[in-house]
Amino acid sequence: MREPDEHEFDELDRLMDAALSSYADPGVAEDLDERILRYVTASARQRRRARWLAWAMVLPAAACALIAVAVLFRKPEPAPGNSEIARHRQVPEVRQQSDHSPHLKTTHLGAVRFHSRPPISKAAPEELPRLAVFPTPQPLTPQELALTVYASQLHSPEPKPLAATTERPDTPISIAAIQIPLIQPLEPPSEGAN
Amino acid sequence: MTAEETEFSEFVRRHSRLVFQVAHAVLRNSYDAEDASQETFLKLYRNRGWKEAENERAFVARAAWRLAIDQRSRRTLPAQAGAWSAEEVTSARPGPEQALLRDRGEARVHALIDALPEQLRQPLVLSAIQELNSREIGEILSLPEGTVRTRLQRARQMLRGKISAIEEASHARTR
Repeated sequence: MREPDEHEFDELDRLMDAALSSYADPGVAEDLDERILRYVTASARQRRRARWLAWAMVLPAAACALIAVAVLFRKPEPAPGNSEIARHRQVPEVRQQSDHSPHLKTTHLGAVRFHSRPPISKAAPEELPRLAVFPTPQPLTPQELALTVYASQLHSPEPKPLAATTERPDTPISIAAIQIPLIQPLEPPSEGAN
Repeated sequence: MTAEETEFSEFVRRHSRLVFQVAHAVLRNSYDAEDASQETFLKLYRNRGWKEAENERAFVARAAWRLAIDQRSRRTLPAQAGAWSAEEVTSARPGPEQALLRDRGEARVHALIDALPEQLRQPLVLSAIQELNSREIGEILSLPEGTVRTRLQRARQMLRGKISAIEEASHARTR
C-alpha cells in the first residue's frame, strides 16, 4: 500500500468529515420535541394514576392487617373485681325466676317475701358467663331458715283472740245513778195568737 | 402548565436534537433512536436530574448514551464489526469496502465507519455530533480526556487507511 501524499490527505479528510457529519446527523424530525413532551406527559400522568391506585389498594389492606394484628395480640381482660361479682351475682337468680311460680326470696334485710309476679329481667337472659363468684347462690341452710322465720315472727306477731285481750278487774265497778228529769207537758196555745 | 413543566419543555427543546443524535450513533436506526430519546427525557423528568446538571450537554448526552447502550443490549443487536484489518480490504469476501468500490459515496463511507471497532467508532461519531469536545466525550464515555483523543486519532487513521486502500484498488481496476 503506497503512502498518500498531502493533497490526497486533504481530499480524504474532507471526504471523512463530510461523511461523519451526515453519519452523525441522520435528520431529526421537526416535531420531535412535541412527540417527546407528549410521551413524557402521558407517562407521568399514567404513573401518577398507577401510584394512586396502588395506595388505594395498599392502605385498606394495611388497615385490615393492623386490625387483625390488634385482635390477635390483644391483652386478655383482667379478672372481674368485687363490683363485677356483685353485678353478676343475681344472674342465676333471674334465670330461676323465669318460671312464674311463687318462690322464696331473701332480701338483704333477712325478711322472707313471696313473689308471684315475675321480676323484670334486666340482664340478658342467655349466654351470660357463669363466674366462679363468692358466695355462690345456694339454698338456705337450716340455720339460715330458722333465723329468717324468727325474724319474720318478730316483725309480724300473730293476732290474739279478742277475749284474751279483755281485762277482768277484780274490784267492783261503781256506776253512778242515772237521773232522768220529767218531761214538762206542753202549754196549749193561747187563742187569738196565731 | 406549571413553571416546572414549562422549564422542562424548554430543556427538551434545547437538547432533543443532541439526544436523538447520540442515540442514533449507538442504535443506527431512527425509530429506535426516537424511542431512546423519549425514554431518556422521561427518565430525566422522573429523577429530576435535569435540574442539577452542571454541564447540561454532557449530562444529557451521557444519559442518552447509556440508555441507548442498554436498549441495544436488550434487543441483542448484532455486535459491530471487530478490529478492522487491512487484509479485509483485499479479501474476496464482499464487505463495505467492496460496496464502496461499486458505488462511491458518503453512504459507503458510513458503512466503513460502522465497520470500525466500537471503542474507536464511539468517540469518532460523538466528535461529529454538535461539536462535542474531547472533555465532553470523555464524560459521556467515562473515559479520560487523553484516552478520547488517542482513540479519535486512531479512528481517523484507520478510516483514512481504509478509504485510501479502496481508492487505490479502484484506480488499479480502471487502469
